Amino acid sequence: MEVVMFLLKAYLLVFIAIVTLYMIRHFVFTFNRLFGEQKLYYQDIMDNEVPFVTVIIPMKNEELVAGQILERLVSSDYPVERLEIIPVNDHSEDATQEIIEKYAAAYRHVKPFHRLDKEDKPGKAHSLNDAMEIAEGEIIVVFDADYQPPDGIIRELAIGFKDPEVGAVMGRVLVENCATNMLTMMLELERSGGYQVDQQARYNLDLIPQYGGTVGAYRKEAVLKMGGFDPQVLAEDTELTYKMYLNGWHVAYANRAECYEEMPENWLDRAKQIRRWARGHNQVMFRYLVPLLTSRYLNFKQKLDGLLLIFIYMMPTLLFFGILSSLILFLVGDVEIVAGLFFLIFVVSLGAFGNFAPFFQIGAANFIDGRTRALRLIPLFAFNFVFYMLYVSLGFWDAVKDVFRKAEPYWEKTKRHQRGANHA
Amino acid sequence: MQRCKAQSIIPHRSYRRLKINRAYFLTEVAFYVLFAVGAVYLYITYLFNQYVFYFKKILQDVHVDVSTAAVDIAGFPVMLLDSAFAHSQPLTLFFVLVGMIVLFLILKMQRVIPYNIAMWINFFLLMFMVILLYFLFWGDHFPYSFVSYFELYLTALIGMMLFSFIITGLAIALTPAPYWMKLTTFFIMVFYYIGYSLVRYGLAVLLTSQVSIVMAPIMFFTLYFDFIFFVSIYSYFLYRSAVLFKKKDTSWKW
Repeated sequence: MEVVMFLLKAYLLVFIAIVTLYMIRHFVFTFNRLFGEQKLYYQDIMDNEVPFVTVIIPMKNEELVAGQILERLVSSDYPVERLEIIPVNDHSEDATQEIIEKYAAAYRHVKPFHRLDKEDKPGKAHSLNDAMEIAEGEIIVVFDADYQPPDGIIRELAIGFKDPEVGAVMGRVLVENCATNMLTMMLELERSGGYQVDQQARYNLDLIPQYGGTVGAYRKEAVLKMGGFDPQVLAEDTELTYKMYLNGWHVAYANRAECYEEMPENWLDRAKQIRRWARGHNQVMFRYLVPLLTSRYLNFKQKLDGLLLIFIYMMPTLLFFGILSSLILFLVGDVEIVAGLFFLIFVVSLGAFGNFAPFFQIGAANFIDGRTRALRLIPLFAFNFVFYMLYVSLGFWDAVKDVFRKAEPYWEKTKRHQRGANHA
Repeated sequence: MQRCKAQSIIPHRSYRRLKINRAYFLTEVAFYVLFAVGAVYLYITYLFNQYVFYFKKILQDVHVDVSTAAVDIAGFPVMLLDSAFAHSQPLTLFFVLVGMIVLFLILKMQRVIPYNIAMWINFFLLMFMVILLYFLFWGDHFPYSFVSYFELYLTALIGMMLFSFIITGLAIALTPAPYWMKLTTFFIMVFYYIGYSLVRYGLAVLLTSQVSIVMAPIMFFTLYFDFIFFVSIYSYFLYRSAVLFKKKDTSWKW
């Protein structure tokens, strides 16, 4: 019994130490973003020689949004002779194919790629791998079908590759349907915390900005050399980030390359999405934790940041066990050692687990973005932690099961609402 | 000064940052931290003890049997009220039943109230149900005396207070608002919470000694809810600052 109590106390103390470390990290990020020198992206480079770019849009049953993204891409200001657009129709059963064909007939640089054979396995990783084989561009830009790329974004993303050390570029994601309901408003606040402060600060401090899988670009040759995308991993974006850094490349963050996306409009859709993210992220953790710590390309602070980043989607599970430990220790009368600190366990719950941003980071990010009334919603994040704790923990458990499972993971895509039509 | 085209392009929110004098910022942070430490020191060494004597007198006036006991919290001698926990199995059973009914109602209402809030309420209800069941079956094994429980309660409260004052002070220091607004917000937080925590302590004493012992863990674990108060005040302050700051392009630095 004494051993169990000792282990519970030790666990609680270690957890509180980790939480404190995250708090300090995010305070440093917020301070850096607000007051530090901002590392500018490469958008000010004036060069007529732009790289040949292939835009890949993986699509499965995207009839609600396929037209709007293709319309935006074909009217892009990027030189047509240096651009090809590959919408990948991944076993769609709705009108996606017809929409794609309509654009292909009208625009020569739209080159549809239909994956309809039963032998072609479905999934984003397979779609990207297959599309890369036919892509002519040296740079691959990826958009999910529900995104609405504005004018100039392809150039902004592609220009970063003028730096030979840059292997991938990430743009900024904004929420299109933020005014729909309370959930989307909160996701907008959370996203802002993640990009405006977190990503930019990591870029400023030469840490590990994350490639997010959409509104991003990468060097085709580099990814092919690294073996392409692994269909076993659901978070192909996080995996690419770590692969890039472990192979000596850098990820650049383009904060001005803003692009709108649709976010889930109800909690159950959000639950599926966050569970999938947690599963994929933890798959990456199991695979890249040791290589990260032993990498010869990364310095100490990059390793530390990479470690904290890779552990983010484990925190809710650890939090659950922290609460359980504190309850047990309280009821057996053995909680004195952590009494003055135990509330930190609950305070950490105020962090939004999508990006683990504490309240002051979300506040600062949205302040910079010029939001006003939405700032009053920040305390509501306190009510999200049980939701995130459950679904992120389920995602973690899925990832644990994936370690022992050989079959490719199945996942449900996020439901679309075509709010983009209003935006356009 | 008339703006040229380049200037109107540069001020994009992507690379906005705040004009700040680092020395001012550090001075401000130091002020908040020192004030927070000073306030907590004053609370634990003077205010709390005064309140305990005052509250004891009130309770004795209404014939509630209480005395005081001296304990040591974080190296400071503190007086705590001493009484006996109210043990009542029927009342515990009543709380269990009420908790179950509320849980059931919330499960029924999940379509009406937001899913995240329903889950949050359910989680804490379940946690409290575990505590209630503990008291129903193992109530005699509750490992705390009245004084040792409140020693623990006060230790947690002091930790919470110090942390909240410092973290919200840092958050306020990060915000570009007029100093009068920052100081007002910080002082409101500090003084309100000091007053509130004294009242909360009195309430915890009354509930655990006059109503039921099951209130002890509930009052302990709901201490965390107080942090939501700090974040609420901070977010309102940030909102007011953002309104004042809006369209003030000259206040930004690129």
